[in-house]
Amino acid sequence: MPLLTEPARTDDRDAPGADGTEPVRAWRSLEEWHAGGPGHEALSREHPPSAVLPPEGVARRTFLQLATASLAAAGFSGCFRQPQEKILPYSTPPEGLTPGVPLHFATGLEWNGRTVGLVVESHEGRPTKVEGNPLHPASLGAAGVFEQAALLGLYDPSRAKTARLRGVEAAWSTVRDALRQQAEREDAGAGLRFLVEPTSSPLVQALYARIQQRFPSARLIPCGAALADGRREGTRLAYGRVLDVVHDVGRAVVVAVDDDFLATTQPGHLRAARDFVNARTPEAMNRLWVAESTLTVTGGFADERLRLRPSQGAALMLALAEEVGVSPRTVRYYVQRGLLPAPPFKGPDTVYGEEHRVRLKAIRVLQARFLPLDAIQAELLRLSPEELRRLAETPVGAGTPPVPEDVPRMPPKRPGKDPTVEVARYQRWLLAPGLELHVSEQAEAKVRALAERVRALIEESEEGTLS
Amino acid sequence: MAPLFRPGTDSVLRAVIALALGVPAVALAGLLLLARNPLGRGSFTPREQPLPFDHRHHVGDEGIPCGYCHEGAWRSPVAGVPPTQRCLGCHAQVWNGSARLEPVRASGFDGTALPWNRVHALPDYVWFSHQIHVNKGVGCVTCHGRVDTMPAVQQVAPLTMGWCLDCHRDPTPWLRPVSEVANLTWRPPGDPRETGRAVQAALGVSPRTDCNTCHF
Repeated sequence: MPLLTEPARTDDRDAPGADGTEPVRAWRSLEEWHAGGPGHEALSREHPPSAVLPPEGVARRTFLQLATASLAAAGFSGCFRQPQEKILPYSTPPEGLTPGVPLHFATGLEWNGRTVGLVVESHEGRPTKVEGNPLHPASLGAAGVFEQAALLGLYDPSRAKTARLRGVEAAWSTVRDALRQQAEREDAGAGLRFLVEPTSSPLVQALYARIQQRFPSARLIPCGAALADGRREGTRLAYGRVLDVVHDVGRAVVVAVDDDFLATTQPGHLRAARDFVNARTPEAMNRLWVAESTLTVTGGFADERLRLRPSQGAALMLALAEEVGVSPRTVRYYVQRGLLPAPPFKGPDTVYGEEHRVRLKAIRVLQARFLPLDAIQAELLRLSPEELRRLAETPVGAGTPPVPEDVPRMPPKRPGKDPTVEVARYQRWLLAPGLELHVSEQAEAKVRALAERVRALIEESEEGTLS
Repeated sequence: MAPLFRPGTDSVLRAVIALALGVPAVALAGLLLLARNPLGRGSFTPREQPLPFDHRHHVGDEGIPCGYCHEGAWRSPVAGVPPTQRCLGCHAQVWNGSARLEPVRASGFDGTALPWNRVHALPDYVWFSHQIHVNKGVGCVTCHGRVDTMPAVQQVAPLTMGWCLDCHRDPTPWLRPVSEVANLTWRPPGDPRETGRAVQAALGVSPRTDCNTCHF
């Protein structure tokens, strides 16, 4: 009697038993339970009737025995004589190449429109190693995971070897002809769409501009695996135009709000990591404060890490601005006027450094002395960082020069009405404690230069008296 | 009743045991010796090439120095085989109609490589650099023999690790002035050790015998 038999499926499956009760149905799968239903075909394939029959022809065991024996026999013949190796020299050697000596090429890899300069080692035309180019500002000798992995892409078997036209492999000449035919169309390019990767190449940008000039109705649509769209939209909202975000993290204090600037997926992270670590010397350790919603590399590296809901990011930024006494809007205004160095922006989240804080505090102190912004700007330019720091530490209102009550407040500027009023508007430059110089706002550059010389003279004389 | 074992049974048994152990042992030893022998490896037989290139003619008769074609030996790990364009440098003028040179012209015109058969092949786990040897006074002829007398190039040195180490442990008899490296007929004027010691001192020859010198 066979051990395994094909279970009777069709006969007396649904027939009532001898005693009139339903027979007990044995089943191996849900499909079998629903025999005859939609899964019946698949079921018969899963358990074919021949599955329980003994195999015919060469059994698996015999086959393995034969294969092992022939493999062992093949091993004997390989002992003595090595297979003949071939040497295939160049027909026309590339210039400057000595076979056996690798060449190093300076090149660049563009990732999301940002280029990293690289040096690639190449053996007889085959690249083997990617390193950063020490002379390139975005690399400084470092290469990230994407740059290193780009090497594997060069040897990817599924890498495109020929052009494709409408999904079919085609010769380059065919594709060129098809493109030329398209380029000769007479209309403005309605319905013509280009999927383009983000690029910072001026050459490619010029090409795009020429395409747009030739086909005004055509559109270039950004296309990429991971576009930094949100970030660009943030800069557009803040500044009215799309800007690239460049981090400046080589500061004494770095505050990052939901900004993983050390992450390897972040464009510019190589430079950011180098700048940040360079500022982290044992003599002068910088501080990294990170507020973020998920644990990131940067957060793990932070001196102080604050868990923060994404919705609270803006509130934290406002609170930080409060600490230095100004609103974010004012900060942006100061940056625009040149009172503050341009901060490294990340969309709505900004990384501010210690320098910003000192300068903002100094501006507040100077504002309490009723100095106009122009004078403050001149003052900020004049003061050394050390003096600036001391100024920022003085309490607001202290050292205020006495302002006489009877100084006539100038009427607000009403342009185009009374020229004398315009000329009457003066800026007050604090030359020394108790000495002010009034310069007309309409003063020419010559007059301003004169005023600068006066101030320089006074400074010199002050230094002279001190020494 | 006859005895169960006859008197010679012990001897037969000993002989069978000796054969059962001895034949595989001898066979194995023989195979291993053969595998390490140039006779078995066929490494000392002249190697046929796809073209009838004759070093006797080019080196011996015409006096073309080694470095004219194998210039990589001085500045690269591999000595290299010259590109086809170097062959055609002369053979565009000399024997430019010869039927024997047809493959060379074809290679030069369509850019395909001439498939030369390799004569000196080290295993892939050995790192060898021509550059250091040539620039430290080891002559071509020391390892490659009188190539100028070979109709088809053949291996003359065993290229085994023991052979390498013999020289690395005591290089003095084999050293020559750098100017004579490519000279196939140069012989040291007096005692080879005398010359070798002078070269060793002049060039600072101190071969290493660490494993990771060649295997890394």
